Amino acid sequence: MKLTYFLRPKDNLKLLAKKGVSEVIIGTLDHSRLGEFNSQQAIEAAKLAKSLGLKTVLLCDALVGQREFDSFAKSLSEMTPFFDAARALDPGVMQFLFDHTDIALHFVADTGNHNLVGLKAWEDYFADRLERIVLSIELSKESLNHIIPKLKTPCELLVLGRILLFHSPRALLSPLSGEASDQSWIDAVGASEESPHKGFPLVENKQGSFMFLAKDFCLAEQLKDLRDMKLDFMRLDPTGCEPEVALKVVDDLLSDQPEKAKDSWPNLVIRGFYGVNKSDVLFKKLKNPSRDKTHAIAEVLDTRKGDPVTVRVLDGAKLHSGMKIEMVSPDGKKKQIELKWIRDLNGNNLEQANENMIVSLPPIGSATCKALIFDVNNL
Amino acid sequence: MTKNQKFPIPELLAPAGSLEKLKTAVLYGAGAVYLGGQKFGLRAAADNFNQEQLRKAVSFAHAHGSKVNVVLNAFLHDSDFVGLSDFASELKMIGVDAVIVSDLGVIKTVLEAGGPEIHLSTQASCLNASAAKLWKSMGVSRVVLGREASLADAAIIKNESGLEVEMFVHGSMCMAFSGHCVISNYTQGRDSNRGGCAHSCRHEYKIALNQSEQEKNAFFMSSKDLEGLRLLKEYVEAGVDCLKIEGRMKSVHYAGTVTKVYAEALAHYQVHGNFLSDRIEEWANELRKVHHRAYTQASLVEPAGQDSIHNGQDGEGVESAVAGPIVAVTNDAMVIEVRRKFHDGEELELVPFQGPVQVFKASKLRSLSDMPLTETKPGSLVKIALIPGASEHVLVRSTGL
Ligand code: SF4
Repeated sequence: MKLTYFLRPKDNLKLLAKKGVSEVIIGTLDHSRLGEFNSQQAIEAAKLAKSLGLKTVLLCDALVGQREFDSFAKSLSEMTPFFDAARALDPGVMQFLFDHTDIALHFVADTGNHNLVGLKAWEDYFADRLERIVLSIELSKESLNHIIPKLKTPCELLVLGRILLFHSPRALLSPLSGEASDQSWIDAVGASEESPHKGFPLVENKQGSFMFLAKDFCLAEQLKDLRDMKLDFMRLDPTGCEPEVALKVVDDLLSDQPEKAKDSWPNLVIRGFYGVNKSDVLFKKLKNPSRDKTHAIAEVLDTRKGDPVTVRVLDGAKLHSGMKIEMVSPDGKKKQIELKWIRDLNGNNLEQANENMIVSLPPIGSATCKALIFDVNNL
Repeated sequence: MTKNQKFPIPELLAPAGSLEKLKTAVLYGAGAVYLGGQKFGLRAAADNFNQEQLRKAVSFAHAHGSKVNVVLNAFLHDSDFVGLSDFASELKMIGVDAVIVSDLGVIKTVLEAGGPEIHLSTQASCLNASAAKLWKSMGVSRVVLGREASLADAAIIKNESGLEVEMFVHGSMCMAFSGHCVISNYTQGRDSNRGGCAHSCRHEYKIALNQSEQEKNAFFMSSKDLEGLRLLKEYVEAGVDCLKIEGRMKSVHYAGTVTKVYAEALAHYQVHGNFLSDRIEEWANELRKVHHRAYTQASLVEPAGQDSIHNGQDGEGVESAVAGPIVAVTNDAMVIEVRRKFHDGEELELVPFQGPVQVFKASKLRSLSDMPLTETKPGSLVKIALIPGASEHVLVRSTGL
């Protein structure tokens, strides 16, 4: 498994190459969400990296609106000849690179691409031009195990670095400093009373505003698993580390005790959803309707002690005079009665009430609003 | 665009969080509604539709000349696909007009299952013509543009891609690029891209800017709500095919009121070829009567700036102003499902499906068993004297905000 490194202007490329990094990802302020190079610096860094035997990847993972697209694309095509590969997140940028350059492509599938069917479709679409798929850290070990062997394209996963929680195109921090956004880089830290999580790192730059989790993502202890899955590239995002610490982390990750990288890392870390994607559990819970209305035939709309009960007949159902019903209140209390009569809201007796009709039924003790009515014969 | 008219208008797409809201939106003038099934969509907490309700929804909407789009816009993990293919073919059989999808895996599955036509959800953040063309080749027939797109962008995207373009015209806005926020996933274990958003962006945060010593408390990442009423001409000129109202989780009052405003404004254009109605202030005022944060035009004209941030937690309209919808009409009374307390003799407003609001005094307030009442209690059904224009699903509300 090779190591790809998210390069910052302050990093020492020579030392990184010496330590065994295979590739550097170089992001510019204009083309990437969090790259810190200007275009000229990026080109210089790419030239130096190549001379040191490193592969170079131009990071162009900005989301690009139509109004900026042409100038974005033009400046991008001026950059690509200096790089071995380019990686994008916006499908429009991928399409541009596909149509107008011959550079190798990396697709950043880290947002909303969590299934094999979709990933294979991207793979088919970009075909031979696709050199790598950057997988999402929201994928669990089980999902990675399922997905990686089935893709033809080499895959990459973040193994150590910050967790991006939120990206807005709007300038959200500069208003707090009382200054208009001049698109320069602003760092901040945020905490919400309503969350036990504190110390969210925040950034505002030319690409908008970003929030990160206070703890970083770390799979240093799981590298063996990832190797067994035949993951091709592990990525290190050293943001938050001084260059010399980052070099130590590189050493650790490439050693036969990669778990030591966790101790060398200056921040607290988590494994995220690698063990299990816990949001699955809640997803299923949220999707379960709280009460099963499937077999209910009516719902109580109004009730007053001793008065008739007003109900709405539910879709596809009917009530008829003489039938035996069971009322189930929202707290689970049940009561059975026979429908001695059914009346419309003008007080006329009805033999039958059809779906969606609002009708009165004889008083039912302990009836409450929202109680459901079932046909006893179908219980 | 609605064809065969002197002045064609875009379709108006309204949220339908329940069958009641669907009927309300359709009756107040929605040309199409969107709703969620029991699975595969966002808004897990909405009162989503089961198959039987979906059938009813389609038959009611089609009977009134409106379309039904079903949201399948969650980003799915492999284990979530169980049943999707069957669900997509059932939707086609039921007569659902389109599905709204953000995940390429879902698009492929719907296509293979021969499901309804596919609209790309705003969750996919399609912001440029290059992306739209790519999605077209993947099989989508319409793109719901990211909320960051301007009306000028929409015109270019439509012309260059040849796709239908849908844009939001009203409602709450995600501060993040849609689909690019996972705050809830990591802080609450709730996947915002599978229906679990916990609205963390609406919280107040204590911010320490690195370059200053100071800490500031601010609702710095909460967006104002979108209101595109005064830009309808620009939507039409940009060739936007469909105007979307956000808010499946919002009330029946919201569904009815907002739909009515935009439907009436579009109907005015259809006849006159302009939006210069003397009712424009009345419509704007109506939009202030539903629960909302301060309004913004967001990025419709210029990129959303500092004035698009809602620095506060509460809404500005008072939703409780609704007295309730009419659920039935008898020979001499209208039956109201009370949402907010009102008393006999109180001045109320009846919001007809078309035309100006009518002010009247509630009289002969009584229970369903005709016991006289002096005031109502929320959650109950009451009768008041019938007035012209009353019919099922018409909204009745208090006059005061
Ligand atoms: S927390 Fe806010 S920005 Fe994030 S998904 Fe939810 S509404 Fe959107």
